[in-house]
This record gives sequence, structure tokens and C-alpha cells, in this order.
Amino acid sequence: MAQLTLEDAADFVIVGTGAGGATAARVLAEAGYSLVLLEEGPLLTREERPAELLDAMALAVRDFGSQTTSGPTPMPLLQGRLVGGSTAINSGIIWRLPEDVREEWTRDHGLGWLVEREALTRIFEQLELELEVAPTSDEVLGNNGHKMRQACEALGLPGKPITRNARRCQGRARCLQGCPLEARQSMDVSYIPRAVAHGARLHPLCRATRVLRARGRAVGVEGEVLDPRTRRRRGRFQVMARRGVIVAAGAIHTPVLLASSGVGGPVGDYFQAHPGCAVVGRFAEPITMGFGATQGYEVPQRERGFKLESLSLPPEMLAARLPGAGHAWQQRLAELDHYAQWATQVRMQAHGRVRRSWLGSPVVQYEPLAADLAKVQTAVALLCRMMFAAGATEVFPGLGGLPEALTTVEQVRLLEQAPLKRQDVHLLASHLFGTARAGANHRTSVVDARLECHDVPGLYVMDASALPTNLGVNPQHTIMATVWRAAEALAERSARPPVA
Amino acid sequence: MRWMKFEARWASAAMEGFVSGRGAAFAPHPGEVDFVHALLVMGAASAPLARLGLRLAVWLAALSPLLLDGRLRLLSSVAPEQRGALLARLLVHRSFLLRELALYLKLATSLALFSVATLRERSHYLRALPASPPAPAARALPLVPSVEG
Ligand SMILES: Cc1cc2nc3c(=O)[nH]c(=O)nc-3n(C[C@H](O)[C@H](O)[C@H](O)COP(=O)(O)OP(=O)(O)OC[C@H]3O[C@@H](n4cnc5c(N)ncnc54)[C@H](O)[C@@H]3O)c2cc1C
Ligand code: SF4
Repeated sequence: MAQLTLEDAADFVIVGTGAGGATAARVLAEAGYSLVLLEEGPLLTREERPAELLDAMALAVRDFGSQTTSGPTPMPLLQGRLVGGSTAINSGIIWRLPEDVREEWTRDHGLGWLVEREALTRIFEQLELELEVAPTSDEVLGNNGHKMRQACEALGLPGKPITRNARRCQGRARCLQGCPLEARQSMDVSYIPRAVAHGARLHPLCRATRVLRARGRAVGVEGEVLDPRTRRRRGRFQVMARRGVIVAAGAIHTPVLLASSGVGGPVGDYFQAHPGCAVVGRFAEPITMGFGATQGYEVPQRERGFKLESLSLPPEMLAARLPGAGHAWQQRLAELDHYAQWATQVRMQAHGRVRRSWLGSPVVQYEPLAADLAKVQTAVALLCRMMFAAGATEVFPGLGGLPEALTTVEQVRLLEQAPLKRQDVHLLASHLFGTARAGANHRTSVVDARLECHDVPGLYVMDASALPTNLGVNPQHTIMATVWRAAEALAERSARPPVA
Repeated sequence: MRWMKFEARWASAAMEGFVSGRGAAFAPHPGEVDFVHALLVMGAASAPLARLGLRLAVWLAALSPLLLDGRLRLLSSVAPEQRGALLARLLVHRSFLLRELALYLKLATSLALFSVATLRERSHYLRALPASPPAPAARALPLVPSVEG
């Protein structure tokens, strides 16, 4: 096949089209700047989104979900790899930045301007209007959500319907494959089309490998054009940026791109996450997880360091989660409508590091601390109790060293008898932070409060990497609001004549 | 990821083993599921280490009679009813690595099974699905044609 060469130029080049990149595009395109958007993954239209998980994961999830931490107990790190980034396969849960975190970032990281209260409130309101943010209605809560509500009522827990960016949701429970109705306002159906309508040029299947510099300043991006089928390299591209380069490749790939481009400072350090796991319950009556918002009901427990959420799984994932093999497993598979699943996301204290391997791929070192595992244990025990309170006849805690199925609430105590060992729990993480963090101190941060690199003028980091710590709530809204704030200021500053 | 012919046979036997045993309403009919296709799709899209893990998982399952009971046999030559029991033991093995590999193969099996519409139906996953309100109209995605090949 002939080699393909793509050349382009614009005021700003944005690498990555997820929560961060798309928001930067929305703000800068509507401020009148020309943009080129580079995205490693493909563009999937509504018709191209497969219903079966096998094909959906192969097309849209980075490495089929097999990107993991290194070490003896690898933890999957889920990310979308398509136009829209992880927002194209997420549940659309919306939470504003918690006030205690806002204060900590102001006090300890010198980010007072970035997270100034009034400015953020204005931006959150605008985002919520544009992205159709609303609490999940009773009509589409589904039995998985209703059961969780029932458990909360029985145990006196502060549950509530989840606020999502999916006001027109029809409860098809397929958010994780990409909403088939485009009801959920992921970036591929909201801000990317909006930026394109304002003149932005979108180049899917283009993987950035290096930020170009001239006289110390970021002036462009080069990389590889990928084959849509094999994902192998089929050409090269070079895109020049007249006013700035914005890196928004997500918390794992942004530090790799920065390191490949010779950016100094603590690039890749301070990685944090909200790892989690799930509990399944079997009910005598049908639950039918295939109907209802993928995630419709939640129990915030920030003060205890975790959050509980209903999480409807596609049949493929649910089946793999049920115990056994052979005849016993088959019998469970014949009545998949009788199961409910609820998950926990834990705000872990552990820090990790992302490094670039000699092959150019990321290596993520991260291990939960004993205190983090204790939170997981508490959360799983609570989920089990809630399942029984909602009427489950069997509960599958999914922890090693325990019976696979609990049949009485008294058995939940077994879970709490000894500290949880890392290898006894299947953790996975999809909320990732901090690998090019923002701050006033050059030694402990990579970008300043305006998200511009301390080291390289004209280079900006506008994604989850710039958040200095994890949050204890779902991060998309905070990523978008901080990026909006920085992009707005960038648009204002750039109104001056372009750099020669 | 290339599979040798014998490996593909081992993979099919192991994955069928997860749903072996007669009498259950779900039981796939012979030829109803293309197990190896699922492995190929997964392997092609996975990270190199995970690809290696898939291959190891197939070998582990194939050699499980030797590993678990010291019997010099392959899983494919064990009676179908006993294959499930061997795999179930691997899934709760005290070695973390063996458990994880077995679970990985079980996930691949689930992905293969539920790619088949008739099996989705037999799982009753969507039984009694409430009627959804009419779908909202699709919004056209204004796109600029990008790289032309
Ligand atoms: C399954 C799942 C469910 C989630 N649910 C929720 C939820 O309900 N609510 C919530 O708030 N958060 C949720 N999250 C987290 C949230 O989606 C992410 O935190 C957020 O999208 C991160 O934004 P980002 O811009 O940093 O990265 P992403 O949204 O991941 O976007 C990064 C983009 O950059 C691209 N890219 C990477 N490297 C390159 C390169 N070298 N060249 C070109 N492009 C590149 C990637 O392909 C990707 O498209 C979920 C995440 C997942 C995976
Ligand atoms: S639950 Fe279904 S309809 Fe609702 S947003 Fe998710 S995929 Fe779309």
C-alpha cells in the first residue's frame, strides 16, 4: 500500500478527543480559532456501534480492556480509544468538583485561579445546559436501580438517582458500548460535531508520537496515520500549530507523549485512580438488567472514601462474573434476567507512576495501600448487605478465599474476619488522574494554573492528567470544567497577534 | 495472533468445556458458536502481554487433567461432562495466576457465546423487556472527510 502523508496547519492542534480535548475544541472553535483535532481511534457513527460486546470492545476500548498496571497483580485500566475518548463508552455520570477538593487544590497546589468558585459554577451550569444533564427518571431507572433504592430505604442509606448527561435516555443499558440512540451526550455526539460545525478539522486514526518545538516553543505535532482494520501504521502526518499545541490524550498516554517530546519535570508521577469492583446478587424475581440506565442509582459515601453505584452489565460480562463452569454455569446462563449488579469506586490514597517503555508504550506502576484495600473490603461488605436487604437469595462477593455464593446475611461477616489481600480482589480502574499535574510549584507539577507547560511555552495539557489529585466523585465534569476555564483564558490571550 | 491448528482445537475444546453437560436449557448446539473467532478478535485487539495470556490460558486448560490430577491426558479427550468440573477447579485454584488465566478464558467464552443471537435469547437476558418510548431522531454528525487512503 502506498505510504500516506498528511500535512495540515491551524491555530491550535489538539491531540485526543475525549472529555478534555473535545471541551477545548468546543471553546476554541467557537471563539473563532482554526483547529485540527487528532485522534488515535476511529470515528464510529451510530450505525457502526456494534450491539455485541466482542466487536464493540475490539473497536472502541483500548487494547480490548487489557491495558493494565504492571506487577504481580495487574489491574485493568479502562479507556476509550475512539472519537469521543472514554466519554464515548462511559455512563455519563455527572458530579461537580467537591468543595473540599477545590479548597485543597487552591491551598496546596496554587490553583486558586483555575478553580475559582464563581467561574466554575458558571461553567458547570453552562456544561449542564449544553449536555442535557438531569437526574435519572423513574421510568428508565430499571429494576437494577429500583432494587438499590429498596436496599437504601431498608438500611437507611443516602441513595439517590444518578445525575447524567442523558436526559433523553431510553434505558437501553448499553452506555458502555456507546449509546445506540445518541441520547447520552458523549463528546462524539456533542462537542466534537459542534467544533467541526465551527470549522475544526477532525483526523481520526492519527496517533501523535511527538510534539515539535522551535526555539523552545511547541509549534506542531507529528505522528502516524493508522490503518482502520489492522491499526498498523500506514503513513505519517505533520500538523503545524500557529498558536499552541494542546495535549489531551488521557492520563496514561499524555505523559508518554510528553516524555517522548522531551518535556521535563515530574511527568508521569503522582498517578492516582478510583479503582473498584462489583457484587452480583441473584433474585427470585426477574431484574432484567438489559433495561434501565446503565448506571441509574448511587450511594455517595465520600466521608468513608468510596461510592456505590448500580451498574448494569451486558450479558457477556455478567456471564463471566457468575461462578462455576459446566452444567452449573449453564443453568445460571439460562436465567440471566435474575441478576443485579452494584459496584464500588474507591478513592485510593496510593500514588503510582506512568513511564514510557523502550517500545514507546506506557508502563504503569501502581499498588493500592493497605488502607485502600480496607476501604474496598468495607464497601464490598456493605454492597453484600444491601443485596440481602433488597431480597437477593444468593450474593456473589467476587472475592478470593471466600465462598463464591453467600446465602445468608450472617455470612457477610466472613468477609470482615481478616484483612483483604490484593490478590483476592479483582480491581479495575477507569477514573485516572494526575500524571501531568497542574500546580504553581515547578518541582511538583508539569503545567501551571492555566494548564500551560512550565517547561515549554505554547504546550498545554488539557485532560485528566492535569488534575492534581483524585476526587472521590466521577471525574468527567471536573475535567471539562477546568479545561473550559483554561481554554477560555487561552482564547482571550491568543486574541493578540499570533506568535511569529 | 496466529494459532496453530492443534491450539485452535484445544481452544475450542476448552471453551466448549465451560458449557459442557447435558440437560441445561442454555446448552449451545454443535457448531452454534465460533469460539476460535472470539479468541482471534480478542487477540488482535489486545496488548501483547494479554495475547500471551490468552495462549497460556488455552494451554493451561488443555493440560488441566495433567496439572490437577496427574493424568496424562488432554482436556479434549476427557468426557464432556467432566471438562466443566476440571475448569471449575481451575477457576478457584489457590494459585492467583492459574485462577486469572482460567477466568480470562471464561471471559473469552462468554464473549463468544453472547455474540450469537439465539443464545442471547436462550439466556433470557432481555425477557420481559418493557417497551421503550420511541427513539429520538439521529443527529447528523457534521464531519470533514479526513485522511483519504
Ligand atoms: C468504562 C468507563 C466508564 C466511565 N464512566 C464515567 C462516568 O460515568 N462519569 C465520569 O465522570 N467519568 C466516567 N469515566 C471516566 C471518564 O470517562 C474519563 O475520566 C474522561 O473521559 C477522561 O478524559 P480525558 O480527556 O482525560 O481522556 P479520554 O476521554 O480517555 O480521551 C483521550 C483520547 O485521546 C486519544 N489518544 C490517546 N493517545 C493518543 C495519541 N498519541 N494520539 C492521538 N490520540 C490519542 C484516545 O484515543 C482518547 O480518545 C468512565 C471511564 C470509562 C473507561
Ligand atoms: S442507558 Fe441506553 S439509552 Fe440510556 S444513555 Fe445509556 S445507552 Fe443510551
